[in-house]
Amino acid sequence: MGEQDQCPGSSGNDGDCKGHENPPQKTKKNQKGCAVTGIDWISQLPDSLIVQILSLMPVKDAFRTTILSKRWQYLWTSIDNLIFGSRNINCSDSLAVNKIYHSGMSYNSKLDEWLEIALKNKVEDIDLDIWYYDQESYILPQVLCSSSSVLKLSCTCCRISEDCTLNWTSLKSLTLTHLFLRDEHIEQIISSCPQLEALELQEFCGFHRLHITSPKCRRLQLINHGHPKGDWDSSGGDCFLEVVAPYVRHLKIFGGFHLYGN
Amino acid sequence: MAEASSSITEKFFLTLKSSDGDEFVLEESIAIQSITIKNMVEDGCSSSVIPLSKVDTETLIKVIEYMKMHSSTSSNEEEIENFDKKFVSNSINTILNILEAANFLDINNLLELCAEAVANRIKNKTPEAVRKIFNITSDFTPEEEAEIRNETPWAFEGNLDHSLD
Repeated sequence: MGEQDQCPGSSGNDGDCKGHENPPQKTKKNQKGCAVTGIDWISQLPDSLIVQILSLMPVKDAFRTTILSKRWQYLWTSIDNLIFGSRNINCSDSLAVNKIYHSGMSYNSKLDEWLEIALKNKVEDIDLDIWYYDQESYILPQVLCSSSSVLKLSCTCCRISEDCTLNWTSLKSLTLTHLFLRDEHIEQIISSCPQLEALELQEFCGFHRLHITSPKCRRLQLINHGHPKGDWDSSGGDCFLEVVAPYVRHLKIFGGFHLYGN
Repeated sequence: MAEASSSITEKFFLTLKSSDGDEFVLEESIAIQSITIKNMVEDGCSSSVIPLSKVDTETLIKVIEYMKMHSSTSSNEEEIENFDKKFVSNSINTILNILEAANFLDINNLLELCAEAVANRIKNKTPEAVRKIFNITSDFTPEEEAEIRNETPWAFEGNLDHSLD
């Protein structure tokens, strides 16, 4: 690996080899001409680089580039991050959702489509943080419920349809927030994630038994046992939660555990 | 940028040659932040001058500046952060050249830095502003453009930025 490289012949710079060498400030003009304006350099980048740039911005911004020119029309469809606005729901985000809903476009069906595209591309991390103020909870599409690519899934205010076949063969981390689940549902969810390592339930209710017997599942968080949005008044009554999780190493129980019903 | 002048460990140097034919001597430990160069060194292809046919002199100078700052043991986090901030304030065409060079040289953190800088010039801007910033000429007919806008009005609504910053 070349000790002989120590002092390579660089014109007029040899004396600098031992010290901290500086690039010679040649005056030769940059061929591409950074200073030259009027040339559309960005459109000449390879697709992969443009897609990488578009993947750093929210989908709406990336999508808007469709109109720049024909070169750009479909580039946004290859983005590998689906960022829908900020993580924290703020006023403008919820307004945007309402606007789409009221304009007659079905947000649900768009979301189904996006998820389908993402899942086709073997997406590994999905975070659905959806709040509907005047609409039924979002029902996870079957294609997501039987995805073998997803490693990490987080759902807020979503529902899993009862006749849905669950099969998360690769899923390692599952976070469910604002969810009403009966004993048989949570049992079914856990048994369909053989690789599950971490389970987090937030603002949950409806079940009394949580049995996690897989040796792989080492992390369990239960935060705020409470009613999710909706009128599931039948869930109350005797409030208890039996947790059997012999292999869990990290357990966090946090927040309120409310008693409903009488 | 102070180097340990009495360093006992022997330093190796590489010569990088830009597409304009200019040669730059650089410490191997700095240059191998480029995975492309690192691979060449490991494959024993670095005994002579390394030609970087896709990187012009002006861009290579910037890339070397970046690599020096990011490899120097004496630069602290704050210094690097300030350097990066200043670095991305280069003209957008310079950033695009560096982005391409970083891609070719496989310097991931430089690539990410430049991609983020370019993304920031697109985010939340009107298509007209983006076209001006990057000198993009639309080849859509007015009818085609109107059709896209009509089909997806949500993408073009809201407080979009008209400025060319």
